[in-house]
Formats: sequence, C-alpha cells, structure tokens
Amino acid sequence: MALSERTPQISIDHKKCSGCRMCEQICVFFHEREFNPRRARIKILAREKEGIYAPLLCNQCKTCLSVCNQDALSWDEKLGVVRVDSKKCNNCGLCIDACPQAAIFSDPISGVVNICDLCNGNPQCVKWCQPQVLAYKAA
Amino acid sequence: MTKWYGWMGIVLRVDLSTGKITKEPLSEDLAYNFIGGRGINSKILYDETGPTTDPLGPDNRLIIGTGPASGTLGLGNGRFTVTAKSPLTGILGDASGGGAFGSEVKFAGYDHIVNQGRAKKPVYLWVNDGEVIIKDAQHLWGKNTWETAELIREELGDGDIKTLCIGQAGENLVKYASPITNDERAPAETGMGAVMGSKNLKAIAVRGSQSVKVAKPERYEEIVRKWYEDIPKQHLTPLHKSVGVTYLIKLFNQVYNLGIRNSQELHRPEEEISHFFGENFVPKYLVRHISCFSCPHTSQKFVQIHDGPYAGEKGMRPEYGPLASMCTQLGVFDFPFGLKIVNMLNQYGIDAQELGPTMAMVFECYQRGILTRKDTDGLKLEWGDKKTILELVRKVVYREGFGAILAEGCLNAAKKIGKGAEKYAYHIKGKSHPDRLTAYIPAVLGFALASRGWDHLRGTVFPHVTPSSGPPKFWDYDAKYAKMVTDREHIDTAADSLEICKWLTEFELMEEGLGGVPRMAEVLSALTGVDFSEDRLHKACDRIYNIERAYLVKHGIRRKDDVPPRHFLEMPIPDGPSKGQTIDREKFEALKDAFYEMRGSDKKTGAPKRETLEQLGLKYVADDLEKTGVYKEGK
Repeated sequence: MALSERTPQISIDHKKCSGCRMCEQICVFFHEREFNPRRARIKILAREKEGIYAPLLCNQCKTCLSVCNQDALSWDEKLGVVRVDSKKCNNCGLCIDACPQAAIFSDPISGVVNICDLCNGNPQCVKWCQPQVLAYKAA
Repeated sequence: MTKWYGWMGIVLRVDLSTGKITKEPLSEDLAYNFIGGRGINSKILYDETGPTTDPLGPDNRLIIGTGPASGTLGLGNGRFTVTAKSPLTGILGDASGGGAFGSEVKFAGYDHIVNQGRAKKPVYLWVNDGEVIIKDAQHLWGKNTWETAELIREELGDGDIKTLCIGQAGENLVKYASPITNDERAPAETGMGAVMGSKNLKAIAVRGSQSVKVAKPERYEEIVRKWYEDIPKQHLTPLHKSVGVTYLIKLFNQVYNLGIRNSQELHRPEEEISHFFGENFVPKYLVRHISCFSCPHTSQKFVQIHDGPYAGEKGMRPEYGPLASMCTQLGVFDFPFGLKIVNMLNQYGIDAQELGPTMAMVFECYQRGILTRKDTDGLKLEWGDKKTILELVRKVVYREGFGAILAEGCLNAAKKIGKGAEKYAYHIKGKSHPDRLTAYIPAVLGFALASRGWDHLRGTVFPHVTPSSGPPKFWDYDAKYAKMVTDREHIDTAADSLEICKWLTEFELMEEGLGGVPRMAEVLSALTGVDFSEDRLHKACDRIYNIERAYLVKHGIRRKDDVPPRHFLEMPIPDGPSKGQTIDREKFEALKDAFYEMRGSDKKTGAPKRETLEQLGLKYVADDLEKTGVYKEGK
C-alpha cells in the first residue's frame, strides 16, 4: 500500500521543532494521567550544540509487525495504528531495533513497549505542539 | 505516609565530606508552608546555616530545589533554584535556572538535593533514579562547562543525561561563578558556582524514569489551556516570539534607560546600536527558534555567525542582561562579539551581570585616572576595546594578576582598588546589575528591598514599555507603590516556589492581571490535591519573604542597607526626558516606611516584627532575632 493511500497520519515539519518536548509530556499525560517522558510514544532527538531538534514518531509503516515473535503487535485497520498487547509483549526489544523511525520505546513503569496510537484519532501532540511542527492530515 | 501529588516526597542529602547519602521524606510542614523551589530552599538554608557559616567552607549548603510544577506541563517546567549562603554578598544567595535540569531531578524522584561538606578531591554526583553515586572528577577539573557535560554523558553512556556543572571560574572560586545547564542556561546570580567549587563538586548529573503524579489531571489541563488562550492578549508576545528578550535593548534605548559605559550614557542614536535589534540579527543569523522544557514560548534563538571576525561562532543568542552587561556597559555595540563573549562566559561558568558591572567600574576608573596601566598588568582599559575585554575576562576567571581583584565582585574590587573607586561601583547589598532604570520609582523600590541584593526578578515592577508608549513617568513617590512591590514580590515568590517561568507569570501576563497568585493557587491545588486558596498561597509567600528577610537581619542587614545604588541617588540622569533627575532620598525613605508597614516589619530596623513572624508560624525565627538584639534597636 502506497503511503498516500493510508489513513490520516501525523506529518512533521522538522525545521520548526523548538525542542520544548511538550509533545512527550502531553502524550504521557493523555495515556497515563501523569508526567514521565520515558513513557512517551514520541521522543525529541536533541543536538543542542547545533540547535537542532527532531521528533521521532511512528509513521505506521508496520515494520514492527513483521519482527514481533510474541504475537504482541497487531494492526488496527479502522484507525490505521499498531496496537500493543501488554499481556503478550515481553519487552524483548526486537521491534525497537527494527523500527526505521526509532519510534518505539520501552516503558520503564509498565515493562512493555509503547507505540503511537494516534490517541484514538485525536493526537494530543498535534494539538499541543506550539511551533506547529506536527500536523494531522491525510498523507 | 503522605501520598504525594506534584511533589515527589523525597529530599536527597549528600554529605561530600563523609560520602554519606540519605533520602529524607519531605515533610508536610515544608511542602504546605514553603511550597518548593526557592521557598523550601530558603527555609533549609535558614535552618542549617548562619552568620558563622563560611560561604566557601564545608558547612555551607548547596541546595537544588524543584517545585510542584517542575516536570509537568506547559508552564516552563524545567526550572529549578540553586541556593546557598552567597560568597559574593555574604547573605542569602540563590539563582533560578531554565532548561531541563529541574524536570529531570523530579523524574529521578527528588524534590530537593541538599549538598553539604567538602569532597577531598574533585567529584561529581551521579543521580540515576534511586542510585546515587559520588564519582571521581579529577579528569574533569580544568574543563569548561560544555566539555564537562559532554564528557559526563559519554562516560555514563546516555546522551539524555542532564547536567549542572561548573567551569574554570567555579573551580577558581571566582565569587560570582555560575553553574551552567543545557550549555547556556545559567542560575547565575550570587556565586552558586563558587560554592560548588569550594565543595570540589564539579557537576551534578541526573537521569530519571519516575513519574510526577497529578491530583486532578483534567482540572490541570483545563487551567493550562485557559492560560494559553490568554497569552496572545499580552502586548509583548509578538516581540517575544519573533525576537526574544533582546528586544529590551531597543526599548530601553528608546526610553533613555540603556546603560552605556558604566551608565554614564543612557541612549545612543539607533543606528549605533542596531546590531542588537532582533529585526537585524534574527533574519541574518537565525538557525532555529528554541524553547526550554515544556514551554509554549520560542523566545530563545539559536544563531550562527557566518561573517566577520567571529564567523563560525554559534549558540543561543544572548539575552538583554548579558548583552547590556558585557557589551553596551563596556562601550561595545557588536552583536557577533556579544555572542562570542557570552558563549565564553557560559563555558567558564561566570555571571555576566556581576562581571560586566565590575569591568565597567574599572574601565571608568581607568578613564578617570584612578587606575593606570601600572595597576592593570599593562592593559589599556579603553571603552569598546574588544581584545582587552576578552583578555581581562580570562584573567578574572584564572584569578591572574589584576584579574584576581575583579574576581571578588564589583564592590569588593572597588574597595581593594581604593582611591575613590567605590564611587563607580554600583550595587545593592554587594550585588551589581547592569540596569539604570532610575525613572521608575516602583522598580527602584523593588531593587532596594529584594532579598538577594540588586535584583529585577524579586518584586520589581516594570511599567508598560512599548515603542509607542514613550518614557513612562513614575517620578512621584505614591505610597501605593509599596503595595505594588509587595504584590509583585508575591507573584515572583509563588513562581519561584512552584517553579513556573516568570515569562508566563510576572512579565507576560501581569499587566492584564492574568498570571498572578490566584492562577498559581489554582495550578498548585490541581497538581497537589492540597486546597490552596489564593489567601493560603499569599500567606506562604509572606512566610518565604519573612524567613529570607530574617536571614538577612541575622547577617546584620538593616534598613540602612535597603538603598538604591549610589548613581541613582547622586548622579543626575544625563539625557532624555528625565534629564537632571535623581532620586529624592527623603521621599524614597517615606516610601520605604509604607513598605515596612505593609510587610509587618519594624520601620527603624527593617526587621520582621515578632508578631508578624508568629502569625506565620515562625516563632522560632522571632526567638532567633530576639537573640541578635535587633528588637532592642527598634525601641
């Protein structure tokens, strides 16, 4: 399936990213009702000495689905996101290594991986991104 | 055991002499009465140090404080306060930092880190969640702050580690050395870097994976959302977004308040200073608009110079304060040089706002013949001489020859120089500042009463200054200014103790009445689940003010020390609409009467009265003051 035929996804205008990491904060706040960037499904990559910041975020490429051997990941056809079955995930890290976007993260509290679920169709990172780096639209 | 929301509930204590590390539970008394950040730091400092504490001795404390809002959402939540008895002023020392260090301390599971004692050899503290290790730092001694941060991250194998470290200035105990985090965020005031140096503490490195819990998540999100709706209403927002704080250079020049050549001039034709205007340097050098942790503003500008003698220099554009201190006050009007020198100060770890006025003082002494080349190791201290400025900074940092005198701070250096140099050393309680601002009496009152010496972040009322408004006229001494200053002190104290950025509270929204104590009380209640009414937060701010003031009184500070710098009183404004004006001492003293009365302080001594302290639950502080004899002086 060509990228353009996919369900709506988040686009990234990297050059606008200010490194505020509000996306990480609201991501965890939405999912867990607490603050802890290590639990986020998005991460800001920082090169402070160059003044460069870039969001690492799932683009629903599905690579992870093919490497998981615990049957913990599945494709949600309706929303177009990867779902993690926390009972099956054993935090082995294969999907983390395989992700071309480097956008899968191991959660230090729950002990399973977190993958962007587009907040069930209303991505909070987009809503809270002040420099408007992120936009949610059909690719 | 208290179930904590907002707060993490743990104070980490590190004794660098013995290597003992303890995790103390945060008490409800501390949290509910002193909130966090600056508030709890000041209470710990008051309780654990005093007049016999040598600021550079092992008994001093170096306290890192986060607040209930640190590590949360959307209000500049990376902030933290560093507190110690100041080696510069000998009284309360503290400084607030931005970046992302404060939030990481929370994520590691701590509200405060209290360092005491002195390590035998250079060390750094590695705080990795519950694991706290004092590590050898001999290989880092002599490195600048940028190198140190990089080496620690490499050594510990984690690029996301946040550090607070000192450079060569802190190692050499320059009295106004500053720790640095994020390469350029400086809790700079009052020499906290020298205290770290005296403890052989090169750095604190932190990484955490704990969660900050929120008592009422929906309510908190709603408050922040509403806050954001109000930000565009604020008149400075467009300037702040597009240019950043450097716009003050232009505005202060327009209203004849830009300090030039040790404040001998307050204005230049715009074409001479236009290098510093955002509309010029942003299009030319901007790499990217940058924010601190979890802040809606992109007020910082990462720039890179690609022409002239400083080509290749890159970093965050300096703010107004460092530029005024290190450029205009020294007669330099060159933005690329400003970036160069401020990068250098951040690498050495030294406070621009004390160094600049100290250098400006000796340049003026040289201009007036008080100093000659015989005194300055052969340096010709001529205004605007960039090469000499760079060389003198190096000599200060390494305490080399004439530089060692300047390393003591503006007032102390002037005393050492003698021959009338003190006349050109502008300070309050031993702390300098680049501002002139004589035209605003409420601002000057805030300066004079601030608890850490001359300071614009602790009760200074700035008027609306816009290009179209023209110079505001505050030449009257209306008693209502006492209330304005007290109100502003409470806003600043609340922001410093919750650890919310002042750009979202004091500066940005105050004129519209939107960023004040009521709103911060809502934030505090939603985060912590403790019912903080507006009055309760006001009372906490009052308590924090009074314990800080009592600390000063114990160190001999009295009403006579609450005075504007000498040039405000003695040197008429040289130019512009307020030409010829000075502060009227008598009227200013009458205004102070109104202030002390409002604060429940004794008018004769400026000390908090016993009943004021007792009402705030600080009877033991009143008993301490009793022992100093200050209450007898008041009679």
